[in-house]
Amino acid sequence: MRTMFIFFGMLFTLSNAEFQVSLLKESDGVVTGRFADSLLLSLPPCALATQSVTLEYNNTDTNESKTLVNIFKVLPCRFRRDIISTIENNAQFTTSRNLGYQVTNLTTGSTYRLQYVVGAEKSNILEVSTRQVKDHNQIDSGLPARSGAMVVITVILSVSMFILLVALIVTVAHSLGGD
Amino acid sequence: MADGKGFTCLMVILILGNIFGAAAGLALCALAIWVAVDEYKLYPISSVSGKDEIFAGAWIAIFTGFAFFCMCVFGILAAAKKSRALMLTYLILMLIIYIFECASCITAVTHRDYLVGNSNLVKKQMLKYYAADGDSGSRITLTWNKVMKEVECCGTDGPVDWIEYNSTFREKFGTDYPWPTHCCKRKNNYEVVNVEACKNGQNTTMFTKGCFNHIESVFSRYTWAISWYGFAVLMFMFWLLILAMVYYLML
Repeated sequence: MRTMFIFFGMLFTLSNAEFQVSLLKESDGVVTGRFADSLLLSLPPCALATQSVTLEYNNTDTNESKTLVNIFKVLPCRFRRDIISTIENNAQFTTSRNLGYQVTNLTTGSTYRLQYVVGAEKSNILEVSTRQVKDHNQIDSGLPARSGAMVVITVILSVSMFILLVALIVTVAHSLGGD
Repeated sequence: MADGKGFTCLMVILILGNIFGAAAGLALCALAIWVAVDEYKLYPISSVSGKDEIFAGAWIAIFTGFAFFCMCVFGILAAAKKSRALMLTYLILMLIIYIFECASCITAVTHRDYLVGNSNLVKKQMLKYYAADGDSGSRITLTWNKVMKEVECCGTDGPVDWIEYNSTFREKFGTDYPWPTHCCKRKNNYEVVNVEACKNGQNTTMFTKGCFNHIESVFSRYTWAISWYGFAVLMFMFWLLILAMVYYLML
């Protein structure tokens, strides 16, 4: 009896499994998902369509939590033929494709733990940090390395200059001495 | 002390060599003028950092190229007249021009390494001077806007440069626009296709490749024109001068 309850319990948790949330990457069509003060998150799966989404996040450095309630409704599934994305904007219509959600007003260089809550379902907790902005004055712009071309040209030309100078001196001396 | 056949042969070789040298010197002058004109208009990137010696090398090469041309014509005259005094003048003046041309080649190739050996200097300059006030700021801003528009690129190694580092642009305009709007694709009437998508970094609405490849290839092209072609001319002139010295000794 007990094993049957455990078995059903497992089935129940499996059916309430978390959906995945992740940061948008280059393969999703953006330059980067991590900015200095915002993050681009993927959307909840379209199976949860028309339900309202809440985002909870926590700054692990300062331990502040924030909850954004009902930020958007999950979009319905689209048919495969819509995978070509166009942003056509004329007087009649606009076609667009939705990529993700941007969480703004974050602090630079902090680690956050984010989680979507859609109705009864929760996503996994995504732990990610915003970009730490570096000072451009710290970039080392000194001479990187001497290229092969530079070494070859300098060496060969210097040697040839020296040879010519010596040869000229010898020539003049010889002709003066010879006379 | 004319020796006859060997002597005449050397004289002919010298005259032919000087004709070829005159042509090569004139070509060097023309090539150096091309570099100095800077059709890609990237001079501000080198001058603001104070590393514009590629163009200094070009200016020297204009004068030495033309001087080679004049001296080679004079050399034809000196060889044909079989005059010792003229040949000595030729040798001394050619050596002086040779040394100046060597300086031009070495300078150009060394400063190319400083400027575009890696992307750090160009990146630092972009972050410091883009959208800055003052003469340097406006020149760099105009140059970068032109490059981003024509080459369809953004930032030095990519748009990430603008968010990875702080910059004068960010200090002035805040973080609403992560990168300048010149990184965004535009329609034929110069209107941005989609500003919001560009701000979010969507690949289809902005340029994602870096501009450093183009800048590096332009400066390398200028440098190879001055330094490697100058090197070729000098190697030819080296043997011509050795022959001229032998001829002088036979006179």
